Amino acid sequence: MDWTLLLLLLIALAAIVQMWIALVNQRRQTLSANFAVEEAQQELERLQAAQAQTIQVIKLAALGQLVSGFAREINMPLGLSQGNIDVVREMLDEYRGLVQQYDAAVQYCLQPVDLLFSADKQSLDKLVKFVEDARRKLFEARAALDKSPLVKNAADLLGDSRNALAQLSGRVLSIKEFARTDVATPELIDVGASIDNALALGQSRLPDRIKVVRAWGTLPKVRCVPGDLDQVFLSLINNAAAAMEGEGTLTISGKASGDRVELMFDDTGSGITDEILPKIFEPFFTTRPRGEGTGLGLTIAHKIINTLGGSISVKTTPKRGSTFSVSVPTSAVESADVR
Amino acid sequence: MSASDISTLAQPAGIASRILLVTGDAPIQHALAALLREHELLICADPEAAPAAAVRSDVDTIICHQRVPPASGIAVLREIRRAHPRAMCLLLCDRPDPRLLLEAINEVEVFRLIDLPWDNTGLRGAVADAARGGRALPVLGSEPPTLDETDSLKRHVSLVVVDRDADAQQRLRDVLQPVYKLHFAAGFDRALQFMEQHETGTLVFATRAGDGEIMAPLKALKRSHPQVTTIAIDGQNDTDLALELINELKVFRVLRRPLQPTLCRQYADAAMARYWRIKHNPQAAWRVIPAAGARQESTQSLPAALLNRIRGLPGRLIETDAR
Repeated sequence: MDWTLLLLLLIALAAIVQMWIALVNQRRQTLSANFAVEEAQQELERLQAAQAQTIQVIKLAALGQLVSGFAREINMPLGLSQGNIDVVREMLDEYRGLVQQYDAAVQYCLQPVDLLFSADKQSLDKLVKFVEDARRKLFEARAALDKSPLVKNAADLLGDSRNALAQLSGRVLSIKEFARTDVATPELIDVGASIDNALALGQSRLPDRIKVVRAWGTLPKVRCVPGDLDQVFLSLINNAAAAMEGEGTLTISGKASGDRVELMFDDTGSGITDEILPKIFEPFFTTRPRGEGTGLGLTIAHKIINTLGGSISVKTTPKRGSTFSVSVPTSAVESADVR
Repeated sequence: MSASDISTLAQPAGIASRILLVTGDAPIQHALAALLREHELLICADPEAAPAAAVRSDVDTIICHQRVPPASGIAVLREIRRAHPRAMCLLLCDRPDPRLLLEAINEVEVFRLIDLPWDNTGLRGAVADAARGGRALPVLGSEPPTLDETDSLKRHVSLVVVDRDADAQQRLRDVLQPVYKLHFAAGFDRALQFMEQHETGTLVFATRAGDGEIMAPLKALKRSHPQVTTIAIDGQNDTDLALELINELKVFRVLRRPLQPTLCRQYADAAMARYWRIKHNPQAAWRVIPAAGARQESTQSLPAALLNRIRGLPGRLIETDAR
């Protein structure tokens, strides 16, 4: 055998072995990299799930804070309906009394018919008087029935009770919508309805001295997890209410701007000082007394808006008020559907 | 005139009255028109027109919703009280915050605060009480006592304080000792012992007196002796307590801690003057009668002996037990 050929074969074999080793290494690295990517992906999913879960927990905590106020809210329509039903029952009894009077008058009118057959002249004169009297009684009883406001008033009360119960049903739906934990996939959400919902939920935090101005028109829908926007708006409403100790105004305005929805929550409260301003979106930061705030409302609001690809910012003047601006994107197709 | 000279009067007869309802809320208008159909009910949806309407119709009672945009119920009642002081004021309120309740007591002297949603029986009772009070003359103003009145009060009538807080005692002593016969009691029982021996016009008490329950015996006292004016010292924002103070105790004024000397003097003067005026016009006691619903609870929770002592205090003006 030619030694040269053998040497060349050996060199070729060595090269093949080296290439194979390089390929194995490369494969191993690729596998390792894929594994790392997969692991990172899983970690990311775990983090996203944890974040979604945190938002749900915060929503439920906020819900807990709302419960006492909400109980008062639903108490009024319930109490009004209950009271109205009691009064309608009384009115029905009174109306039954009027009908009985009418029946008695009718019976009274029927008596002369029996007397007519056996009447002499003197009796007939008496009969005429009796008939006149009977006609008067019948007329009065009928007029009492006609004039009685009982039926109309009872109808009004029942109508009001129905409306109150419908309002109650709406409130229950709003809280149910807010507390939804079964839906984690985004849906098209009506922004205006979401603000309405948040205002309904936050109403117990808005005393009479605070005027609420609703200055948003028709707004495009936004794709997000149901309840998330409510959570953002509720946090902003609660903060505005807490900032206004005396009389004040909360103006909520909004408009579609290109492929975004721009919202402003403008209050006439105490404003935010320069020291506090950088911390307001930090977790667990609160200026409220212990037990009155979680310190997570604005943090979660910030996170939700960021997740939607939006932004949230604040302009403030101490002792004059603050304006929180929220901007969230909406796709053109989705916007066109609802405009 | 000694306390024993005051005769016990029978309650005025009849409860139907003329009422002005101030609210723009249609369901409330409908519900109250039906509920109070035994009375003559006038409805005014415009809060600015309400004072003139109250005067023009010479109403006995005002029922005003706290939400009467652009005004507030308290502001409307304040105006009505100036224009038509005879009328008794009821405020309908569905989320009373403690500050509003303080105004309702100290500035408007609201006769009853009706927490929404109302209880039909309770509201009818409140309206009947208001009708009785609205016709009782004379009208009780909040003017300070005249010089003659002050002189008489200083000589004959005591002001009792039930508050163990040393700072509050000192402040009240500084302000009131030079003007009135001032007595400090450690608890209601001690105060009662004093009142059995001395004519007492005003009782200043801490809502948390720290020496047993004070609210129940005070309610019993106010029901049998409504002319004894009470000033509450309260350090907390408690809506339920404020409602209790207005409706069941008919408290005259509320002082917040730390006590402000000027307010202490002003409220004490007005309270003593109020006592003096009711004492000399016993019929006016109907204007400050507490809610009937409270009596049963008070009676049940208190020992019979204590109730008898309270009822037996001298100077009873009106026969509230007949209600």
